[in-house]
Amino acid sequence: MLQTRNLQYRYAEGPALSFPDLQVEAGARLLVLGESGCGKSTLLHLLAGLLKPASGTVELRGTDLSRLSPAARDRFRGRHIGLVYQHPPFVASLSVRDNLLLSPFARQRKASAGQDGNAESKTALERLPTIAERLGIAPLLQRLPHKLSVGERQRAAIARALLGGPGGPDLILADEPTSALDRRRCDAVRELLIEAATNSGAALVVVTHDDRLVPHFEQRVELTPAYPTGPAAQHRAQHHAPQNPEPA
Amino acid sequence: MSPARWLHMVWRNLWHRRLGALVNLILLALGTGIISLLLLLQGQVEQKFQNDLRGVDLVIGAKGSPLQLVLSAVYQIDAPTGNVPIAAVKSILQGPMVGGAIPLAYGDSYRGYRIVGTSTTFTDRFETDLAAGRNWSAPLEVVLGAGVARATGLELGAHFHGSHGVAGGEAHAHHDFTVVGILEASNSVLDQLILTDPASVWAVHESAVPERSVQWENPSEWPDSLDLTAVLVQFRGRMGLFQLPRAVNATPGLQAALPSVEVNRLIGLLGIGTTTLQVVGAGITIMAGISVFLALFLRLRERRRELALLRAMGYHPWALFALLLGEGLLLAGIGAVLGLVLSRLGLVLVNRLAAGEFHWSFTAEPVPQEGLLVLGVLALGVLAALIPALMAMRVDVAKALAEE
Repeated sequence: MLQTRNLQYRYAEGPALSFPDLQVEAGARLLVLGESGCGKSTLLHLLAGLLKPASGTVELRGTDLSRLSPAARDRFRGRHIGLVYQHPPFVASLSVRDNLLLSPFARQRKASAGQDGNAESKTALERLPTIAERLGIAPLLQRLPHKLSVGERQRAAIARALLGGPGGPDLILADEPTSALDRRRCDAVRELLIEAATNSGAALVVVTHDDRLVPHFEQRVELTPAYPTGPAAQHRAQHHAPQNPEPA
Repeated sequence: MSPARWLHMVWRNLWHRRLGALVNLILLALGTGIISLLLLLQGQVEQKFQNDLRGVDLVIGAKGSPLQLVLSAVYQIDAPTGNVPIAAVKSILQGPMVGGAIPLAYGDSYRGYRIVGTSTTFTDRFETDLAAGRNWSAPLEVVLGAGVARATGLELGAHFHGSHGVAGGEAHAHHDFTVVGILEASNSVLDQLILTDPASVWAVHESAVPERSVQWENPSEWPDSLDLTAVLVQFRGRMGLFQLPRAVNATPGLQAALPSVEVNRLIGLLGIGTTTLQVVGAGITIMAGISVFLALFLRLRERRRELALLRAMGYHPWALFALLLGEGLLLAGIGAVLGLVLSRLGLVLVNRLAAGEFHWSFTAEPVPQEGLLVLGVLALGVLAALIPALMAMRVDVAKALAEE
């Protein structure tokens, strides 16, 4: 499903970052751990195709993202990748419902065109009530985003991630989805993410410095603070089964 | 993104910042409205001046301001300069350079509508027929212009008294006018006049009325002993333009005014005011454009995450460009439409003022220049949104999404 090789990224200023090779199968869950500034969000944006690597490849469903044109990469991301942020952004002027459907609507064409985008937005519209119901945001769909609580915004962001692609996303990427939440909310969001990914068969990659998530992910990678590239490049990748797993 | 979805998002974005958008719209509508109103008025005023000028090459009247003479004799919107004895003008009017002459005796009114003593050929200039009744054939018989009949409600056979002057002066209670005809509407000064035989005017002012009926079409028939307020003259040939004014001005107490010259001068004077107002309108419109630009530009920073989110959701950079451009375009479009509505409302106000003062009315029919005005405003909207739209395309998605 998701595979990276020799991935490196270089900011205009500061050291270049190199990342461990990753392989995540459909339905699997990977936790990327690390302290602030170690490149977790950069890795997530590379996986999402929002950043172009200095070298190396990111393949999703056999497609090398860096080989796609920017426009094709945008379309691909919209169809296959769901994104969840710690402080999820919303289009302030649109209702929660319209925000959830941003991705399928991006590919919608004129009604007469009969293109795939129309079928996709139709499917998304059909799936919306079920997903909204399951995440407990059905009564909030007509509200504006600023009227939602922090928890409701998180759930709406997860719902939006699930509505990408014709039958749901192949990959859900979450950036610090629980870091700012208390224990109870953290558990709720974690459960929602895992349940959503499990139900849709999507691979789930979460980047966080929140250790509370560790027991719930079978794959883990821990990034160390940024190191220069080359022979001195170091990172510690640890892949091991969770200890004391809790039910998802 | 479908066009309907694009429009929905553009509209929602404007609605979300409706207070700011309202300020943009007010400025756009005000600027467009002023320019549109001036276009409507300018065209119609010029057309009205030209229409009423038909068949008049020269106006002969008492010494004074030539513009006043033309305004009072041709357009009936100013006080007369005085009277001229028929004996003084008769020899000039019988000369070979005169193709036609129409006598005018005026100074009285009924409910603000001027009573004009003239020949029946006066109406021929406007190619207007009677809608009802017949032409006057005896003193104190009158024919009403269509506007007068509509405003006063006078019908055939009705009687009324005239008043001295046009501002409702002393009533001439001993002389009853009788309505014998009503003219068709001609959209000219004719609509606002009450026409009668010059002998009626003399009768009301208790001058000596000629005993016999006068053939007013032929100046040689005009009675020497009486006065006229003005004479409208048509040249027989081009030479009249050079020789007649000189001949008239050489006669003591008379002046010749060339209406085309005076009207051009008047339009020129009005043009200065019109141009000034147009510049003000254009200035307000440009300010509106700048306000649209500032609104979009200043909001870019707070919208960075939104724009980045759209990119992350699969929206092409050109889709973001189209969204921002759409906001400028939609604002300009609504502003232009509101401006056109505003100009029509302004026209209603102008009509009320013009109806009271000059009995003029202007139509709200669009003029071709308004199409250009709307296109100009739309272009301004696009221009105002261009830089913000281009900046929206270049938003650093990863960086913006990483912000809190």
